[in-house]
Amino acid sequence: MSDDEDLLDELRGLFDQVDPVDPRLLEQAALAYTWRSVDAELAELSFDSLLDREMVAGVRDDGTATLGPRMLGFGAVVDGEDVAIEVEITPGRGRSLLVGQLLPPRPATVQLQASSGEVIAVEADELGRFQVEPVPHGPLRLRVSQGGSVVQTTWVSYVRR
Amino acid sequence: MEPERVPELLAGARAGDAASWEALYGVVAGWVRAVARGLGLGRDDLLDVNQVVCLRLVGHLDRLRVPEALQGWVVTVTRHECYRVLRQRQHLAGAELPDVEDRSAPDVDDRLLRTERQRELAAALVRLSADCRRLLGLVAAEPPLSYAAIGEVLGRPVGSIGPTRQRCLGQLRALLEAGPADPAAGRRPGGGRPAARRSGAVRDLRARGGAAVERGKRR
Repeated sequence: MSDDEDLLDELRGLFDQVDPVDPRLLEQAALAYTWRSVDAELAELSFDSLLDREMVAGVRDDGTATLGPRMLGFGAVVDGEDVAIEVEITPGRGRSLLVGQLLPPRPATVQLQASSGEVIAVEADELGRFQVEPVPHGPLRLRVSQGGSVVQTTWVSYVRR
Repeated sequence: MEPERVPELLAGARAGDAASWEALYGVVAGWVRAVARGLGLGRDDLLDVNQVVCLRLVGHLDRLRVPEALQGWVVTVTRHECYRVLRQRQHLAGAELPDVEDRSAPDVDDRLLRTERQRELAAALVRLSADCRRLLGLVAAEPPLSYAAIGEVLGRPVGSIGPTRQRCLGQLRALLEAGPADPAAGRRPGGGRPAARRSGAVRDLRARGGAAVERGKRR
């Protein structure tokens, strides 16, 4: 058994040497911490079509496949009430469209925050509908403010390249 | 990397201390890296995954009341994020979903191997089965991953991790003892596998290079 441990130690040393932890992982983490906010209710991801194998990719005019719309659902409980944010992101040629729905339907200010620092603010109408175009690249989250209450979704990856 | 400081660092990060957070992530990054590699992600994909994991963790700090839950949370989020990133790439590439580990591996420079022993170890790893290589990459994670976490990543029962680890280390030791493979020797006794399928640059020893080696014979 201790032979196993010795061999494993050697493996650790080898991996450390040929494949050390990329310092950029820690840089990303340091940057992420600046996004820390304690003022908002967290809406966790409840649905993501990307984890559903059945998602159908579209087909472009030239016959190549394209990424189908991505559907995301987020949920939180605010003051005892279930709140949901549903989002559909449709990729276009270099220009993606995000369409969202707040449930229960209500007007609110919706911020789309990109981890790059970009923030796009739009208003949801009285039916709780909102739209952002184009969608910035990289991890995103939504921050929904209405009156004094703020609900913020968890971050989701969004790869456009 | 001080896993035993996790409770203290977690409390500090929650209280707004950036230094605690950065030290905490020194622990977390090792897990994220091991899981992403174990699932066959390359370096750029690892960065995409890590970015989401650290952002999520920042948002989740206040909910992680039990420090022991940190690893499980990180492993699950990382695993899901790996699938998302791979799937988005696959769709964007317009390709059929390939096996995740079929993605090309980064080259590992032979010059990084300092000693003869390391060269031998690297050569033995290349000849090990891809499954064993993946498992050993996870088992060798620093700080260590629990068997439960490794089982989750590999989609195997927890109870099988210990025995498989022992078997894989045994195979690795046997390959080391057998010495460098002679291409003319054909099959290794008992191994049932061609002895030397490739030479030259040792590619991604942890998991992915295995796929590159295996690819040719898969179908």
